[in-house]
Amino acid sequence: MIWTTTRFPAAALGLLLAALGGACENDTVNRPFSNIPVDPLFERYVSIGNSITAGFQSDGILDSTQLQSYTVLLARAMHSPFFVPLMKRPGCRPPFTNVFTQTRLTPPGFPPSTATSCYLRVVPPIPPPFVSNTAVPGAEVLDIYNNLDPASNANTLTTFFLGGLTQVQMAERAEPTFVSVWIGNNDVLGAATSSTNGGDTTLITPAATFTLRYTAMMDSIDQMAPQGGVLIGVANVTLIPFFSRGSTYWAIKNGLVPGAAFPATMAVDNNCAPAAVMIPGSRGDSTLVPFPYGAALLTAASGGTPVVLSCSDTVPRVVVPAELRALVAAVTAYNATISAAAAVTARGWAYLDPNVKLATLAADTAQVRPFPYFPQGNAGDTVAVRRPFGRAFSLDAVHPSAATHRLLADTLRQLINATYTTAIPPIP
Amino acid sequence: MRRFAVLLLAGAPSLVAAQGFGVYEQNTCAMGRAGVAAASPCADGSAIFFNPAGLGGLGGNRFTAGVTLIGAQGSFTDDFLGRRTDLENPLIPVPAAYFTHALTPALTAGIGVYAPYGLETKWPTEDFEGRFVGYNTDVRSIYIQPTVGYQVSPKLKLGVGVAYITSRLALHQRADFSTQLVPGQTFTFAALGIPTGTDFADASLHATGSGFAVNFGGMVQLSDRVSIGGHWLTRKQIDYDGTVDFTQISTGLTLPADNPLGLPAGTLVDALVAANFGPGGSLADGGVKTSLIMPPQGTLGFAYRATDAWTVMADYHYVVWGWFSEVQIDFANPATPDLTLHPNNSDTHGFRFGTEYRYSPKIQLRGGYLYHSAASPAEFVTPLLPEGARNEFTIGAGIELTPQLHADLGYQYIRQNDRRGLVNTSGGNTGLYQFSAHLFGIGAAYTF
Repeated sequence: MIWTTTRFPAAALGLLLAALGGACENDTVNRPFSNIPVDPLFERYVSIGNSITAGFQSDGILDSTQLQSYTVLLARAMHSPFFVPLMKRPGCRPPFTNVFTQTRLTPPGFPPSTATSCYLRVVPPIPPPFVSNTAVPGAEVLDIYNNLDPASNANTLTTFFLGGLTQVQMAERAEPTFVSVWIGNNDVLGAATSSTNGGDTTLITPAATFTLRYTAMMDSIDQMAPQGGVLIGVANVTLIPFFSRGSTYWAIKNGLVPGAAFPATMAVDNNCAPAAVMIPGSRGDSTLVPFPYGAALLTAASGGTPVVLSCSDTVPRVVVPAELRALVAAVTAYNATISAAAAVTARGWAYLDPNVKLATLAADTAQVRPFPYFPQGNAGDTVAVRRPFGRAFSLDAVHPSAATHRLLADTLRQLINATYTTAIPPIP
Repeated sequence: MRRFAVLLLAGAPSLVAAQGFGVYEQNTCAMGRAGVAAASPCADGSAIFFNPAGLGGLGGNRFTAGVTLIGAQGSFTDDFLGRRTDLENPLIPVPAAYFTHALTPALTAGIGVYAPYGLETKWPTEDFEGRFVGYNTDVRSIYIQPTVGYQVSPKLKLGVGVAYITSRLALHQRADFSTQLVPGQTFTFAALGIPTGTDFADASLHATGSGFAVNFGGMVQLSDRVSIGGHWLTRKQIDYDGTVDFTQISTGLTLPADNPLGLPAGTLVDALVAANFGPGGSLADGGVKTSLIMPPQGTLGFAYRATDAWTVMADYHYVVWGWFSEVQIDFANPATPDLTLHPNNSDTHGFRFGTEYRYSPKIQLRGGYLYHSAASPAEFVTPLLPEGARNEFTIGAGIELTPQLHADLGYQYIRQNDRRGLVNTSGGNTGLYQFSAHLFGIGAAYTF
């Protein structure tokens, strides 16, 4: 065969076409969230906080409650990549399914869950490079940047979520562009809910100490140079349904609440009457009765044991007026510090006072029951199981329900949009 | 610690001899025309590499030396955050030298020294997710190839050479604490909360090896304008023998109170694995052996002299990477499990097109384009070898400085198709590798 001058260019062209056939087939980055953040401000959103932010509900935490946290909902709406240190079902510890029987979530095939049950953290097949929700249940302000201090409140979940880092250190890994901080509730909550001395003022973090620690925390966050953030004030812990007013007990005992009654063996001292009835020594509307204490009295009375609820200063389990004032004063002082840290003169961040919404919820007895819904003993009555403290709170009477998390997320959304002129869409 | 050992050499074989990181630019003249040389090698002795038959009839004595400077740019962009990490490759020189001597008018002998595998991938250790697969891989293979070429007839040339290969391999990687098994348990420290990407050990593997390969070829002059040719480099095995060194790195992690490990508050996480670095531990220093089979490869091409001044040519380049599917690694330390890896490469096909134009009796101008497919399968694109299909463009020039001295200049641009790859061998592809390179060649040929 004789090769001609026309065959070679043709052969060359054939090779060239074969080459070009597969020459430019580029792959692309495949972001797991399929869409980019609604604003560059939310390129990397990190949340810092305590149990509420972590997604603790009904005295427990697991992946499903974690994903109901307001911060997860907010991140989704921002379309921000957001990684949560999920705990395996049934959790660590598993949440209540019935607070009155102290029954906890126990999936089929698992041993009965208790307050000490703790399952491992989920290890995803593609581990994210950092944690976005750094919040740890039980954390006070100090814990955010120091979990080795003797005053630290480190617990099992501190290691499960942070693995030896602090919240600030973990947040730093994410190089956050936007930060939310809701911390400080535990600096006063432990004092209010103390099981030995309700309203123990010695357990309140002094306002000056709180300010020092909060400033130190914010200085650490500033080192990460986020472009913006939102600070959330401390909740007024005296408004949560964990507490019922002494005056509510007095009213029920005296037949002033239709459909409610105590056993005959349950007595309520007149010092629990509201001040307005003008009974000498009455202070019931400024005395808080913790749910566990009141429930224990009612249980004993239901068993035929005579009991008396007194709102006297001599009863350690109740929060008496002086203690109540100290708790509220601490919250007020804390929030002055927090709002100042967010102020235009400081950082120009958004600031949310949660007590506005909390007061609104507390005014609605369907949202926050002034008195827990105890089991009535009639078949089919599931209120005591599902929402004994109202729709706004979970079964531990302290932590918000999923519905309240949605409300919080949307409130924050509106605040952030107003502060930063962004367009985070409504929370679904 | 098995996973750590698995990671240690994952992908290394591909890097050693992959088409993607193989260096075909062993001569500045050939580089200017996209490496097309099967049917018409440059008359400077570089046929020792490109087609030994090209030595047949090559008169006189010729000494050629040159260097190709490779400036590679690359990056990995992760899916999670869209954050990009850039390669930190230095400018890498790849030298080559050839000497030929005409024993008779038809028979020419020569020897070539070249480095077909000499690239390096260097990623930052800070914040690059792939450092646990490999952050610095350095392979330097030198081929020393005595060769003879014989002109059987005016139309036929044959040649053969035997290359002795001496190779050095260095791999560096970090180990991630979170992926280690908790002693006595079936789960890793990640399940206890140890953060992903916690460096706790640095591993360095250094090994050397050698082997032989045969390079033979033939050329046929079909007419005064057309020639065809081809060469074949046989399969070769390199046996590596070396050491692996493990260095503990401080994690900076301190356990708080009430940790799930039940250890006192203030316990350094490092203490949990310190024993592994001691004698008998799974991360104790030790020897390592491995053998890498280099697949056969060859070219088939033609050259067509369209005019007295203009020549066009093309080569098809085939590498049987499909043979490269398994690598066994033998650690001398019995506590470190031996490994068998499965790179599962695919055969690659390269299409090279080149041209040369004699601008004047003393100046030649060259240009070319090539495309080749990827060797690495989609599930094995790693920081060690973020390899993929490539388009490459070349230009070059040759200048006769004196009747004895000839100089060549060349430039080549490599544009690799963006390719998804992994930074964690257990997690699948989680990002995008991008790669390009600028190559500058300079060489001189002296005829005497």
